[in-house]
Amino acid sequence: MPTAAATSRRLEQLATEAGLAPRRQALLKAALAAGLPTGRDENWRYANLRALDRQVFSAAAVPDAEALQLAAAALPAALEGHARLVVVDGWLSTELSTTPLPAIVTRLENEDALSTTALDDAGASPTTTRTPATPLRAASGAPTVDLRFAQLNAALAPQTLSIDLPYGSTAAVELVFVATADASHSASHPALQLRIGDGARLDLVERHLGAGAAATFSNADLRIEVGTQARLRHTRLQQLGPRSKHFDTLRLRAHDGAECEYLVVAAGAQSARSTALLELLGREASLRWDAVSLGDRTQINDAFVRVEHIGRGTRTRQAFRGIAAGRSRLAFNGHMIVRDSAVGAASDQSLKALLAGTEAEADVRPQLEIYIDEVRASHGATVGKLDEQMRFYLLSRGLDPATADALLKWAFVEDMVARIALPALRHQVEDVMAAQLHTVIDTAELR
Amino acid sequence: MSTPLLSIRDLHAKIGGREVLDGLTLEIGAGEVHAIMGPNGSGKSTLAYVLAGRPGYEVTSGSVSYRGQDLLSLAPEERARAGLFLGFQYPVEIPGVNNVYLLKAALNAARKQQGKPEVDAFEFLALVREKMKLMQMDEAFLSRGVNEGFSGGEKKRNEILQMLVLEPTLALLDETDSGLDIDALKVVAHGVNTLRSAERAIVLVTHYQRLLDHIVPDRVHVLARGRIARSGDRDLALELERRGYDWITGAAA
Repeated sequence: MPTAAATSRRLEQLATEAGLAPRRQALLKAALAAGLPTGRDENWRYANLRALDRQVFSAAAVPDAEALQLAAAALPAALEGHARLVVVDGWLSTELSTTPLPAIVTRLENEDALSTTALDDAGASPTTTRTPATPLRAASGAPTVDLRFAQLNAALAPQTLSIDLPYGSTAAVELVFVATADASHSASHPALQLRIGDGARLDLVERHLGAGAAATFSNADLRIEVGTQARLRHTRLQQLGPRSKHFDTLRLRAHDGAECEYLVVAAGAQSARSTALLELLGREASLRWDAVSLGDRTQINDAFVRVEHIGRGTRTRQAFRGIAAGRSRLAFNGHMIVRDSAVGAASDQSLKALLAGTEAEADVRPQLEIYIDEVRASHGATVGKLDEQMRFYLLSRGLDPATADALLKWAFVEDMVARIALPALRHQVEDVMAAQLHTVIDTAELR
Repeated sequence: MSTPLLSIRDLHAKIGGREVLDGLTLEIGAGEVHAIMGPNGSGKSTLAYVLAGRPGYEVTSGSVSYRGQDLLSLAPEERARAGLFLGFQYPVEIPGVNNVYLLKAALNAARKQQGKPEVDAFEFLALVREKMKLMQMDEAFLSRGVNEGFSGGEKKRNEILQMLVLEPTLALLDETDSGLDIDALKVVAHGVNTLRSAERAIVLVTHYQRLLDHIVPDRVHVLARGRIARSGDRDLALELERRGYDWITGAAA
């Protein structure tokens, strides 16, 4: 039975389930009518769509005390200067978040929220009952199938977390999405909309964590608007448990002179697919996208990043470093588009993957689509093994092969995280990477 | 007569199916400095790599005995821990691994082999600082990636710094003089000379005689077509400087 057909049938069933509000049913039906992605869709070739087999999509209920306890135990040490927002199975937990919630944060409950269960802390935080703002439109020309998971999220998410940074303000937020609900019963659909006002600055740390041993399913949706001359530093860490399945969609639009700096580290989950649709709309808007993906065992990690240069003089610098160990499969598909309006745009791509297991697979794919002449674009993509010359150099200094290999793997990804300004965060990220690489070296000594 | 530190007998080696060493025989005693000279393609660097155990260099026959041990049966890292050091002609850059980490890991690997405990962090830094001073290197080098963004001369100094910290029994320096200006050459030569002692040997692989003005060898060998074509004392190097290699390589044909 074709996977997509079976999945669509389950979703159709969900669409008619009692309890799902009419507006959500309509959203779901529209998404289903358009069809879920399949391996034949250009940008979904490497995604693990089998992760959808037998998947239950119904949104998880408000987390109970046990779930909150599991989530609390999974939280890393708090980051200095950062407000923490913890979302458990798609629901904001005020118990686990910074109290009181910062004024820039609003929790949007839908009038037709999936669950009618009373909120854990009704009235304890600023909540509104208006429906979420209209989602950003699809980036012009993007195949709408790339938005399908965002549409599912819109239909099923119980809440939308909204962060709104006023003009010229500065904030640091740590957003932790914890998945605890067992995938055989329900799914986690966290949603965020973020507006960074003109000239404002935001440091955002986004984590996806698993709690407990449950096999979880999450489908996150993030919409971000970066105002004129605003700056966003966004660190995304996907460190879900080994039985988790994860999809996420990030849509971002950057206005004049906006600076967006990304570091994306994917180390967890059994199967993960990350879709990023980024629009550099304003003049001189810039994007740096550094991504690290570490696969082991039979993990599958696929990322699709589409960057569209629309404004004059927009710039992108993109780097991917992946290490595929065991029988894992990694893919990174970087699609750069330069529209005819983007005079003087510049784009640089460096995509590299390392095969560290005899049965591991890695695919890196730079795609350039350019509609004007006045543009600087460069790209490089390689998949290979550890550099033999470097390896011999280390062995010739007496290092044993296991140490030499561990050092070279570390060196391959370390310069991506070396840029993290906050030492505590950098060390947390390094610890996640070191654990995933099963490294035999003391990485603290390399700092 | 005492056993030589290194004894190479009738060594044949191939790289990529091509025979590069063709019956090379050479003995090096403790306390000696040997220079191996020869035109490009004569097998000088191949010899250094074969002795250090670089993958891809296939020994087809012959033997190499180092301190009475079969050197060729050892893995590259075992050779290093047994006191063999190769100074690379083109030291590789390894961004992300800093110099101080590599130095310490290398020193501790050798100490472990000798049954010694790991080096004390304080003593280690004192040792490295002393050697860096000798090599006229800035301490900022320590926290930089191995050879990352170093100039040719800085890379060569870094090789000698590593050698001074590791204090090998047999140092093979492959074209350590190439790409050095005269001031850097003097610093490097001074570093090498401080390592000369009765229990260790140094092998200088070089194309030019000018290094030998600063590090005076006990023996000079001319390599041609994968074997020693002529051996002599320092005067041989001076004669090569005057006459070129043709008169020897021609005779070896």
